[in-house]
Amino acid sequence: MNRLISILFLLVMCVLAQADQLTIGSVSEQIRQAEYLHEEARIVDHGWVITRKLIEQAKAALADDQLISADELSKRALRTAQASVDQSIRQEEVWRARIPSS
Amino acid sequence: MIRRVACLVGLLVGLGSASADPESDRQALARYFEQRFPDVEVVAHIDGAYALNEQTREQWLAMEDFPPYEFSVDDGEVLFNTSFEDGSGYQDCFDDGNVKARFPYFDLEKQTVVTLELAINDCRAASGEEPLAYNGEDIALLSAYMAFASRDSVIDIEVPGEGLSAYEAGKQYYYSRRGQLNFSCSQCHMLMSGMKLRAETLSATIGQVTHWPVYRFKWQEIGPLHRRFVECNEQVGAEGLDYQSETYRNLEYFLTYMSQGLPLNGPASRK
Repeated sequence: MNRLISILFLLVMCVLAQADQLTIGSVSEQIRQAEYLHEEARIVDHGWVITRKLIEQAKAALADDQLISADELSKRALRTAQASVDQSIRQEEVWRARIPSS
Repeated sequence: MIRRVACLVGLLVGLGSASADPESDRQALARYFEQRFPDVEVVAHIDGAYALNEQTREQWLAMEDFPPYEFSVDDGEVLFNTSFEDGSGYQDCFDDGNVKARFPYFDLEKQTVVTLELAINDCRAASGEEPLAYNGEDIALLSAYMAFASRDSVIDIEVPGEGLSAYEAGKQYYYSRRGQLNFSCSQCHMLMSGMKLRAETLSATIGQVTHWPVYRFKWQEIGPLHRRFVECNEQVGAEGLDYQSETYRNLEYFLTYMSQGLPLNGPASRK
């Protein structure tokens, strides 16, 4: 029984420790990175609508002190922003393959 | 030795396709659609999706009995004939308005593509008038009237050497996948042309620019080609660009050359 309580205690401590790592600064940094990548994609006309929405939602959640939600939204924004940049790089290489041959 | 020659030939072929001239591109595209739709003449594509589906064509022709853009053409004519404060007017820039067949063109001095909408604002600026908003009603009405005045004229634009990079940029945009759905313009309007996207038939690339501006029932008003570009972008999850941005003007330049030689039939109505 004591063993089970110890394990549960450790688990609770782990969760709390993780939550402690989330700070306004770390989430803000994620949002900043997502904005940077989104802008990189936009410059070459490859910005995605979803990235802009996620960034706006993450900012709103952060302003509302919803740190966990802001963290999740900014991570999603970062993923879609990175995907849009990857798309722009990939298309630079392959777009000509779609032209009908003369 | 054989391998070297093969490499050289491959390189030359690669270079050739990389720098294909607009006329070769246009002919290749026309052939593509001739093979894809053997029963549809290339010129018929000026009616867009209504050239590809008999049932929807009949509905569209019935709608055209009372064209919803008629009042826009009338209002555009009034605007076209209204003088600027300095006494000059649109006629000084565009004669009787039958000029659309030569737009867009590559301006060698400005080193940029000039669309009809851009030229309308240039005309106004030359007379000290404020520019019209590209997403506003007045510019759509003016271009509706000028499209009507240009009906049946044949698209006759040029791509000079210095305009090739703008043409190529438009071409690249057309064939590049973008947005979260990872779609290119060419996927919908070449590979899937004639197929249904929900209830709508997808039109062919050729003829796509001949009938603008368009009264869309979805919009409940007449609107420019660039508004449709924005809509297309957003439908695949890509961010739309500003009307008359360089990218959209280059895209219009490429698309217009792909319709070179086809008659203008704007304005038109679309669902």
